[in-house]
Amino acid sequence: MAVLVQQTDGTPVQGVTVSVDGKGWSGVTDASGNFDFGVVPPDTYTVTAQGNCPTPPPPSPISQTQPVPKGASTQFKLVLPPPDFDLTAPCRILKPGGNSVQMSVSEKPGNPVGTYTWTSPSTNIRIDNPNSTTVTVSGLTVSSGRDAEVITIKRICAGCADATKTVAVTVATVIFSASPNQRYGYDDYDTPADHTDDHICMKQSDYSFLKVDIQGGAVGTDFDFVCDDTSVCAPVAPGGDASFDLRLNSGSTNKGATPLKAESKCAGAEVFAQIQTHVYKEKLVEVVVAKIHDSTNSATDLNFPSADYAAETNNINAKMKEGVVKYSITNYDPANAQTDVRFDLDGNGVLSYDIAAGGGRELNAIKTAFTGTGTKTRVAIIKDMKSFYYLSTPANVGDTTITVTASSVFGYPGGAYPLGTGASQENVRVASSSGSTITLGSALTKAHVAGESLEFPASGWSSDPILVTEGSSSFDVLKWTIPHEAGHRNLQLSDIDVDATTIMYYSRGRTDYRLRYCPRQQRYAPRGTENQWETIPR
Amino acid sequence: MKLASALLMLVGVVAAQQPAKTNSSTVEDSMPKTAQEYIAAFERGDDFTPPSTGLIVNGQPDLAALEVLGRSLATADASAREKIVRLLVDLGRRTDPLTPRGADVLRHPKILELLAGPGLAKPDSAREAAMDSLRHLGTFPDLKHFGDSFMKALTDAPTEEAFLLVAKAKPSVGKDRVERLASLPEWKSVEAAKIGRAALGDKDAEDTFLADASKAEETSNGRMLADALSKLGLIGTPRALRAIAERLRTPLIFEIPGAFEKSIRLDVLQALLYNFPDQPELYPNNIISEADYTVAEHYCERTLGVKYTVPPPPFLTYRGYPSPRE
Repeated sequence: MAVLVQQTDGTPVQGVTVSVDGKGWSGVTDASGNFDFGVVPPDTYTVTAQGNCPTPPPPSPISQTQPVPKGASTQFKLVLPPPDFDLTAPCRILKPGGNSVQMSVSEKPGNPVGTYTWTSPSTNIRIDNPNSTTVTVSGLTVSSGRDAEVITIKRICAGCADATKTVAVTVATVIFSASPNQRYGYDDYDTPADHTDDHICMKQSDYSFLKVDIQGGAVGTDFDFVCDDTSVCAPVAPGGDASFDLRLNSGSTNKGATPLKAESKCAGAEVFAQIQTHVYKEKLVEVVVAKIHDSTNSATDLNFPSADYAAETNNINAKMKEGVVKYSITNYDPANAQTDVRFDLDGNGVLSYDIAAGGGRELNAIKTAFTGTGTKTRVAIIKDMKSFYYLSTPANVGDTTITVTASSVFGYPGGAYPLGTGASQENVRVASSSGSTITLGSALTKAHVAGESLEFPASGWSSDPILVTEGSSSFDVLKWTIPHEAGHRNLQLSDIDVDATTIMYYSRGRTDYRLRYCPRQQRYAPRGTENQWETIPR
Repeated sequence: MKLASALLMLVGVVAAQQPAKTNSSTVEDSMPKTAQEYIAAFERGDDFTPPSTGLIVNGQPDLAALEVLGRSLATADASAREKIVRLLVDLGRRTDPLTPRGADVLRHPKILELLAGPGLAKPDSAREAAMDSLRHLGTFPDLKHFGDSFMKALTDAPTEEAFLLVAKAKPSVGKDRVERLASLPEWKSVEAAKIGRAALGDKDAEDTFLADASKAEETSNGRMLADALSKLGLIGTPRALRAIAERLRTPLIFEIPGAFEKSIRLDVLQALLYNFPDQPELYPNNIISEADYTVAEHYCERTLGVKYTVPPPPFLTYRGYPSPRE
């Protein structure tokens, strides 16, 4: 009478004690799962197998009863169930190249200690110490889908059926980027492909959105979205999508910053993505624009007399919001008409700007008429202007230097500029200047009396009011000049060099109009860099 | 074919260079004219763009419209509430009799009542906007009537704006409560809380800000002095105001290289007018000559007892830098 003990898949089980009920006969199965009781008298026997792994309790009973005829070779077949064991794998979302996670197994009470083998066909993960009860699993590359990386744990122990379990993990990445629905700013820090150095800003006590893309099969609920300083920023927990707009509520601080993180829900809370979040009090810039002409001289009539600069407020704010700045542009004249000011006092058809006097009498005429403006920044649009230095002493034929009333002289670009008027006028080149002395490129050919003018080429001045000349500029250029100049005055921002994408680019040829967090190169000495979001006084 | 394309392109370029002409009738027709229309527009998500239209009767805000706006201010969502606040502020500023004289002040009793009441009812962006407007545009005599309301707002939901508003209104019962709040760990190092303490009588805190101004002056740092003066203005105690006014003849300037130089005398005026927004002579936009600075000095002599002994610096408001011809 032979006994064969097998696993459910037919694999023989060695070391199992088999016994014949009521007879006191017993033995232990060999490597083939067999034990032979030899020739027994014909009868009906019950054979019971007792494995070494009592957990789970075997089906009741693992025994078999059958007659053994005389002279027959009878085999009892007993199937031993696989034992149970405990698997602990609390963290199943892995980050490529991130922290490894621990997984472990342990025996059920009463079971003998088995040996374990952890295997996976996946190349997206790595298992360290795969022949132990505790392994570490690392993510290598992003999964093709949720639970795509399957790990099989096999338990082997003499006297017990082999047991296996599987655990599936996901290797995922989280990417933060600008949302099309963002309400304020986002700065990629000049590295569009690298989202790890980006910045987002919001108005205080408000909200905005951040685009979240999760790759690899994980979803929003697999992560905790948290800000380090919850008084600055509070994310709203997302749903179970892999791509979504994360709503960020901002705190009431006038100026604050804190990292926003997408953290694993496992112990250790590994950070899968991080972005610096800034909260600012919205900077309101109130600007009043007057379209100035002098009806006594039609040469001062504007090219764009019907231009509605206030109507451009929303277009301008669509860009300025990126620095949590809001412009309120109003037209000085309630009906948006031109304002008639008797400013062309010298009758030359343009505004004559006395540089040494910070504008002089023609500018003062405009300033005096531009009343009732409270704390608003004043911008005067005029048709054209000429700027002048005035000789403080006479200059003679052959002189190569002249002296002007100003204590210093702005740098002249190349070119020749008129000195004097009428018969004494000649064009001169300015080579250099020191204090109030100007050195000319060549000797004077005419004599000049004190008070004669030397023209300086300027299309506008950051005076008060700020002067913007139409000249030959398009309306588009003019309208963007207003927030640029008010950006100097109200936002304390400098002219920017190199980067033509910011509203503060020194030249009128701007191609975008954003305010940036990423430091920009200043145009003028000391030519440092300027972080525009942070520079703006709040 | 090529000629036609070129012509089309030329038309496009010319059109792009023309200003957006206002079709007055169309634009005006689409603008709200009643309080209900404004509220409906705000609830739709429309922004408020000043100047407001249609809510002024005989040169003053329509009281019936203010009632309607006030009811909505108490119940609307944060976004609509904030726009109502901005509408109310615009109405108050535009209709104030001092506005044509160059002041920027909010004194309309009903508007002040709405901003200080339902405007502060919820801890949201509208409350912050209401607080900002009240403290910048309200006069001290007007604001002190709402001292209890401001203290409650600060206690219920402390924010920097709330500290600054209480600092300006200086409620008589506020000192201990502000001290307690400002000494909490989360507020201890926040400047607005320190300003609140100084404004309500904490001499040590006040001394710190006064010392900052002296240090800026000693180091001839215009930007730092402007910053220090601004904070003294927020404090607004008699000592702080005198310290500001005494510097009305400072020769220091603040410069944005390549843009402008600004006299810090304008920052002195700015800090003063925060406390006296109903005094047109303190507004930088009203300074055209040295005589205008002199008028402002006379106000400081009369009101704050300041004496000016050193001669004024050369006249300066802004010295602009040129934009290059292109």
